[in-house]
Amino acid sequence: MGAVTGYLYLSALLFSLGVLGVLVGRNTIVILMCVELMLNAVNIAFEALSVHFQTLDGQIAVFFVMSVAAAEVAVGLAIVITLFRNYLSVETHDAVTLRG
Amino acid sequence: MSTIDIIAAAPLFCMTFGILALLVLDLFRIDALPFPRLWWGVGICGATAFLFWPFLSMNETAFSGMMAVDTFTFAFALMILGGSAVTFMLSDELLEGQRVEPSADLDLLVLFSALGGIMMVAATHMMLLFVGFELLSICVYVLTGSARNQRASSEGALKYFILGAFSSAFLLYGMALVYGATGSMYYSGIAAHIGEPSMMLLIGIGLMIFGFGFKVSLVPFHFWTPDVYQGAPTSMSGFMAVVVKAAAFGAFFRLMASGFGSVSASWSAMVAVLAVLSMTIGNVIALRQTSVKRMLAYSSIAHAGYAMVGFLALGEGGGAAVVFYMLVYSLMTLAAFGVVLVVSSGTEAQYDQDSIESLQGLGWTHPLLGIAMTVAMLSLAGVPPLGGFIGKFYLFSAAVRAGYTSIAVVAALNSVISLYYYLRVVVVMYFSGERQLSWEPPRVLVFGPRLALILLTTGTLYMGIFSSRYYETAQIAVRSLMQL
Repeated sequence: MGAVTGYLYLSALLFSLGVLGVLVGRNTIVILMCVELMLNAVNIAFEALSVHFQTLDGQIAVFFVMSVAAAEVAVGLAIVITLFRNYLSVETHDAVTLRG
Repeated sequence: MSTIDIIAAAPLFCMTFGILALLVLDLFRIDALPFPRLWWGVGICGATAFLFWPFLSMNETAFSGMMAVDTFTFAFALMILGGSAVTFMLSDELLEGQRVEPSADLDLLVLFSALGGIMMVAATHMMLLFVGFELLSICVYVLTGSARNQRASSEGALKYFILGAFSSAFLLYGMALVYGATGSMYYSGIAAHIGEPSMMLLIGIGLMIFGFGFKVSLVPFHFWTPDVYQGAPTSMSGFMAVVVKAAAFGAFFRLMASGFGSVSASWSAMVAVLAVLSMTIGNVIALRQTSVKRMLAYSSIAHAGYAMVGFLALGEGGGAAVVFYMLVYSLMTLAAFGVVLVVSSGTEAQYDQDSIESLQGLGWTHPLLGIAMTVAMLSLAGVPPLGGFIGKFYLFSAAVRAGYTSIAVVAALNSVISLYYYLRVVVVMYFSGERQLSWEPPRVLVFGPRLALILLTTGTLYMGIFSSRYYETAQIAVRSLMQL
């Protein structure tokens, strides 16, 4: 492994920060940003591993992840907007109609 | 492109071009066309299913090993397409009552997510799996929120979106670690380089199980399920409970069997715990639900637990049992959601009318709805001559053969518990109080839902009586998977 290990630790750290942000976040926009952070942490891991193995698989994966992340955020923001229209808030603790 | 690539691409191209044609037709007022909108969706699903037929007797890979052309793909593609076609039939003119503006957009999203599901189950490369997974998920987030001015719908969409995006990040991280441990993204490459499982590989497999666990709603990753199924328009809840779950189970099974099959000893304990938790907690919480949609959501969690039992017995017929069980589960669950959809679509005020009490007298006033619901409930509970019983029988006997007798016993006990809340629905429909509805009855049952309910009910009965042929096909499907 060698040089790649450092990058993998970095990616694990960033991923954990993203997870933490999603779990404690109250604002949906902040949660969205944390999900992006998680996906980009994975991108670092893919890049590092791709260089380590001297294959292009990981590099190609990063392109797919970036484009999927963009689509996901577009839909996510649209959902946040419909939520805001119905609740006049983007905080998660205000949207509590469904229970049981 | 070789011949096999053309055969593999034909159904996917057919579907994509069908969707694009629908998009263009929508610009020119599709309502003015000779057929109702929904039959276009059914037609596209039918044509695609027809093009999948050559897959039945093949066992090859296309696109330099990225996509499997085999019986397993055929079986799950047909489930996904059938589920989507039934969703179209059920939403015939009914969505208006659910305050969803009828537009071709929803049809397009249903078809795109079905396409994503097919890509998932056919994938033998982790990137294709991820792209299919996301195509399916992103479309379903939008479908959940499609009743835009309903609070419940947008709240359900938000919960589904946040947890869905969160779980797919875990799935992706798992992929990166598996790639790191084996140096390959192909399932065959993973299986070839897996060797003695390293820590990195085990964490990767764990994270991928976590990601799929969210999608198929296993306990403890199930918290979104009841809220989302209740908040979404009912036809979309049925679509989620059936098509999304079948696609996720198909892809999950292919990955575990042909990618990580040789190290099954290292993940079977985790799967066993998830299966037992899902069955037990799903059934126990379903006991005290008053909303039919929430009850069906917990029941779908419990059924995901039953299906996971098959993962424990990979070599002992567990795989074939999973394939067969998903087929039967699709039929009976769609029928149950179909009845709820018709009941709750009468008037605008009925949007939230999904309490079990609102079904009182339904069996007498609407015989077809009553029979369809009764068959679905009895089959979900696993009462003998019906499909659900045979499915459970195959699953549990495979578990016993593989030496997991205690888990089979827990599963059988759970079936007994579930009998209580399924039978309660039947009792409310036929034997409690007045033989008439306490609310304004749904409008005359139009052709689409009528046809769908008849097909699903006969299918559930048929699977119970003539199961052997389909089970043999499932066995062939799983055998082809193990050879990859």
